[in-house]
Amino acid sequence: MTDDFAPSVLNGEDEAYTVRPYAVTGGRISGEADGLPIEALVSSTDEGKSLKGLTPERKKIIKLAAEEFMSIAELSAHCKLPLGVIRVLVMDMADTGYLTIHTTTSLNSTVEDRSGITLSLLESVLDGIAAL
Amino acid sequence: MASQPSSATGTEDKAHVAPTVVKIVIAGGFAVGKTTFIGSISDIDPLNTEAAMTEHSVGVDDAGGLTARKTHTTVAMDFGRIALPGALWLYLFGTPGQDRFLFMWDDLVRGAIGAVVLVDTERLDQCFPAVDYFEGKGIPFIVAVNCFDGVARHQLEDVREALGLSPEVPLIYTDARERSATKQALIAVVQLAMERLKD
Repeated sequence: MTDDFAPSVLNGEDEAYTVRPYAVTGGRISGEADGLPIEALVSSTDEGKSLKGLTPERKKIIKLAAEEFMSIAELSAHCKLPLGVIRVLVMDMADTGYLTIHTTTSLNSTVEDRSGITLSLLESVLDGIAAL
Repeated sequence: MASQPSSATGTEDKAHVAPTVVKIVIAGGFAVGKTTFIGSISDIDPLNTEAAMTEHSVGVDDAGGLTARKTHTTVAMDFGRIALPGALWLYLFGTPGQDRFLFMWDDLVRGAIGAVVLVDTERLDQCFPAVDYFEGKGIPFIVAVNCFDGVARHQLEDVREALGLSPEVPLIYTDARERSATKQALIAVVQLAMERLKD
């Protein structure tokens, strides 16, 4: 924690406001979650874990990801939360067994790294688009 | 830690295998038709998401105290999704319109097959940042001149010269409203990416 730590900030404001995006992550700050591709798919695990005590945002993500595979970007759009917040929440809930993340892009890959784009993959994409 | 998330976290549902995901980035200046382009072919209505610019500097600790307080600037971007045969999902991501958000493109472009740079011939200069970016990063891209009225007012070679595009960059006409035209543009990007791999 840094010198910026200032518990009085929240109490010091008179105006009421809805929960700030960064409050919903419960303090977990993006680190490795930054590397989660925006197109990475998320699904809810079928482990019957109790959702009791989870924040509404977390419950909503689990519910959305139980219906169909949801990308980080889609979760962001449906939950109306910034990508960075969704990434942190998803990474956290994957660690705790609520969600499974599906991605073939490694979390620390760079823009220049194109190793995941293979000829056979492109052929499938080309055939698929042509058939639309 | 979930660096290889599928295997590291939770049990994979065998009966419900995740689609393979690919993406193509749709770039170009503000209001050039990126969202229209995406909407013309997407299975879902284009969705909107945003990235907050100050996300690394703002956090809330367990005690509820703010670790930093800054004004959030948000950048909106639109995207769509197309299901292709063979359990393939193609995402189309539109770049934020303004040049000053170029720094967040790495996040958007990482892992993309390639890009379509949409051009409005009335405002050619607006696509310079996108062209420079994709050239600099070695990302396969095509330039698609969006003809809103269906009439090509500029000869493609004039556009090529004005943009200083090398001969290897495919340059086509498109109509962002027309599914058949956007489809051709996407095909051109994939073909270009394939040629690059074969070289």
